[in-house]
Amino acid sequence: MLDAIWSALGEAVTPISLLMLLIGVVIGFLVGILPGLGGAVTLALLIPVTFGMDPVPAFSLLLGMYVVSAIAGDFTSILFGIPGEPTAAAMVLDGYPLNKKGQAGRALGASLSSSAIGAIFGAILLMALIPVMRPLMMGISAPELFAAAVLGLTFIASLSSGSIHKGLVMATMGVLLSLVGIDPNLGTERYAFGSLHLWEGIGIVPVVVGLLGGAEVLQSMLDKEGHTKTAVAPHLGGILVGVKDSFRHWWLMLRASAIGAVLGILPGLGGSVSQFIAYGHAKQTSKNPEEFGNGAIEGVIASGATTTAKDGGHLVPTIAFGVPSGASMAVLLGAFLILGLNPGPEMLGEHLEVTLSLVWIIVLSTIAAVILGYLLIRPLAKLTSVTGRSLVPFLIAMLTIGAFSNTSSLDDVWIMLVFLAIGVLSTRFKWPRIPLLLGLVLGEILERYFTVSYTLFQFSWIGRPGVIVIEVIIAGMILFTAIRIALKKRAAKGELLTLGGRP
Amino acid sequence: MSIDTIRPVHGEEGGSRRRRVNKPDLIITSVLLVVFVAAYLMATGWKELAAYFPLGVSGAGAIASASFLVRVLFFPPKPDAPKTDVPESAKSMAEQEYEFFKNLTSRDWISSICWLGGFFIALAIFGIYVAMAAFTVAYLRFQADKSWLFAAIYAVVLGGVIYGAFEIILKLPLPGGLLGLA
Repeated sequence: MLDAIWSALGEAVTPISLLMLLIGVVIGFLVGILPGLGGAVTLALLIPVTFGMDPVPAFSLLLGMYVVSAIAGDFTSILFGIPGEPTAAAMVLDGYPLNKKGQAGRALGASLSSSAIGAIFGAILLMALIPVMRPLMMGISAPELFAAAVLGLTFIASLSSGSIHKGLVMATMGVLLSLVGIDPNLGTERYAFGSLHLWEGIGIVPVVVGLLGGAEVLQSMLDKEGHTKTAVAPHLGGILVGVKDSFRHWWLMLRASAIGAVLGILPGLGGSVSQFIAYGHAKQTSKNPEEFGNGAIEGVIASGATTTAKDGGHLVPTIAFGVPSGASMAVLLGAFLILGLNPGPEMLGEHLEVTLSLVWIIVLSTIAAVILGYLLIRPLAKLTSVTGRSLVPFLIAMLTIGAFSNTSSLDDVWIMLVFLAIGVLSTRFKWPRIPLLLGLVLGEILERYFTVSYTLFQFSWIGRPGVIVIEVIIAGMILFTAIRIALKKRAAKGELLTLGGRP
Repeated sequence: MSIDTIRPVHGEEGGSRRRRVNKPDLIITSVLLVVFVAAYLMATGWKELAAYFPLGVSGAGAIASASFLVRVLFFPPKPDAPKTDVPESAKSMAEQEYEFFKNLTSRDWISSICWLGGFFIALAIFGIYVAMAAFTVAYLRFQADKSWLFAAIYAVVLGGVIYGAFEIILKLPLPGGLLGLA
């Protein structure tokens, strides 16, 4: 195995592989920063370029681009409050407030360093799981996936910014919105009101862009102070502070990486779901949960680490079984077949070197992304010193193109506008937006896996060992949250009595 | 009377911490309750396998929003003691955003709706390039008080960046509008 690892490294650092990796990294940066063109679409666009290439240089281009687009997506979230990728949505919650406080450099430094550690963690997990991939994957079935999705929903409490009841209503609305379209079981049209566009459901991209970016655009449009203030360069001296912050919170970084990597293995649960779950976990276990949403560096670290750690996890089922865990992996699976590789036992035996070289490609592209990222932080962050109203045309272009790119249809722009209005109204009247997004993302997964579980096992699946483990975690989470809320209320009462007020 | 409160429910009249029904919460929850009930009723007309999940979700949503409506109407929280002299930097980001939108005048809202509405109508008719150029020049000149030259250069650069990045490098289709100008 050790020989294979070093031999794979040799394959990954040949001049042609490194050249392809660098091209992939640059494209990934562009794709990540600009809204709209997701990693999956770009993978599809790049596949024809790899015809005739050897597998390792081809994957250096594809995987290098894919890993880096996720890292760069966090940049737009921090600098403009608009996620460059749907997987960077949770980064907006604390990265952008830090930028508003003049700590863009610190946020970017923390994001880059935690992303780097997350990617390496995911790659190591992939390498470690190679010998046990088969039994591991055989133990995961629809009931475990359903239970994992329910576990994701339990984070509503920590993502509801003060009102769990409102968060619950919004999350349920999100799940209901995820049901719009053609029903996967019988083909029945549900809540589409005759619209052909809605038959495919409501895309996550226009929702993320409208819900999180809309309020920001309106604030820039109506910012009377920003209208007259002179442009001030953002404080970028904090880049190293952000890096230090990441390593100061090393335990959180590892936990968030583990969440990203493990959820990345499960079909459908990667991407924004794992980022929100890691964010919720970071908030739940933080000593200062009240800082979350206001520029908590722990929020940035948890989101950043998950963004890249999921990639290693995603590759596990793709390589071991040819079962893609998401749209991007489905495209990558196509690349495997085009390059003459059959995912499955072959990849763990005959083509073990190629599999291990994928691990090295993730590590190398992350290192390249970190270097490029540090070089680009200053010019990119200067954009944030542009006064509010001057940025409006640029932000509106990003919103529009981001939403349109979902299916290249203006209907997605109108959907984005609806969610822009919902986002602004939620902010104006203190209704949490994130549970709506979490419900929308998890809704389809919940229905799909519940239906399969019920069809296969009726309700006997509740007693499966894997499901029981997740049920215990869910119960622990609920108990932990309840105790925490009770202690907080008690402390608030005590504080009021000390001040002479009535409880 | 503020838009955020509707009437006192109970408590000490004239006291500083009377309970008041939160009007926006009342309206939003009522709307959501209607949506959940309507979704539930629609789902009753579908076959079992297509309906069981929507029925469960809309039913749960209706219960959650109805119970919140009861809470809003009959058990509104006591208002917090007025926070005076709290520096802007000490307020949470959500609080700052809330106050930002709360302090907007009707004129501000109408103005932003008109600008955004104008852009998206132009987008639907003329496509991204014309809409973006017209919006950029008009907005920067009349709303941001920039010079004609600045606005024109900004529009050209933005159009160039969009064309170069999305059309040439990324080969991404852009909205052409009814007239197909993209």
